[in-house]
Amino acid sequence: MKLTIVIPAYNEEGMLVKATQRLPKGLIGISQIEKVVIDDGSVDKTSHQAQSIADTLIRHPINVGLGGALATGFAYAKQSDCDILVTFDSDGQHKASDIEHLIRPIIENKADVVIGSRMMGKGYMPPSRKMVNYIANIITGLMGGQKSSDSQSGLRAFNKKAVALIEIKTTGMEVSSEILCEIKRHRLRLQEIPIAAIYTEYSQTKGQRISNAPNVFFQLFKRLIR
Amino acid sequence: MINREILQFILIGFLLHGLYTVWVRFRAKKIVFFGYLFWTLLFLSGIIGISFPDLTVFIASQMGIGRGTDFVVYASIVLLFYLIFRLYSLVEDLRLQIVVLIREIALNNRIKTKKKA
Repeated sequence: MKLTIVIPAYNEEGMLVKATQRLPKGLIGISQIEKVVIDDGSVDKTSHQAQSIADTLIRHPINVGLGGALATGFAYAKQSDCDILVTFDSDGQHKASDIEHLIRPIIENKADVVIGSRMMGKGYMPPSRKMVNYIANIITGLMGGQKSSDSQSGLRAFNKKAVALIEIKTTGMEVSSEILCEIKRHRLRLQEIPIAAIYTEYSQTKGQRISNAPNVFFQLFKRLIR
Repeated sequence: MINREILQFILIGFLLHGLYTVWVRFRAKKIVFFGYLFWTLLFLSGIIGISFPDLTVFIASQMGIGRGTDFVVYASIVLLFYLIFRLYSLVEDLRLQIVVLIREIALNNRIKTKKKA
């Protein structure tokens, strides 16, 4: 089985190497692991650094947004015929060791998509992030019908079927909610597993913020009515 | 105070220029036939409305609106919303097309690093 780890990155020169240095080199049930960095038009040294940690570097000429970067990752996964696709944030928030647990339900054919839930994990989550997540979960559930304990998690695993069916059309942060809507639309089997989240001052400046919320849901609404 | 006829003349001049521009753009294949029809009808109805103000009063009374001017204002607001929507859709479509283009370029120029997968 081939595992492709997609790491979207935008101006992450300060964290990319640190965030990805512990990515697994081998896993039980996996014969090949490919690390793919999607540099979303960074203007710093992200691309340069990515070449030392990734097997493949895909560089957007201009910044498109998280959704656009993930969609490029999905397109690459389809082209490269991978069996499992994992998305992994480049801001140092995820623990690489969680990937092993994340892909297990897919290897055992118990799920098509697995989401690493920070809300189910026992680690500390800043109250502001917790609140953003609660609101996002409710609105994503109302809009797409798919319940999730962590709709905005960046650590996810998809099997081949899910990669083929999920169509990402949004380009920004709303992609996380869109993926859940797509899971529901295609009736994919979803599992959530607890993961640890590492919150540093740096990682808190990245990702979803409460100020993003109105735009995220407006974009998601637009996606639904298109 | 501007005479009503002069005002009508100026407004009709603007609309005729609009009609001409639409025709030129259609001939240059810069707008599709539906677009040509839409804009031509829009400018023509403007010219008719300005030339025969009593007509707008008649339409307004048929629709239960008191004055012809009110009818024109209401119709313009609806039209402006529609045009903003069309413009918004166009910009959004263009943006998504650019994203697809960026993706194609990025995938075609992907770099396989020295590390082997």
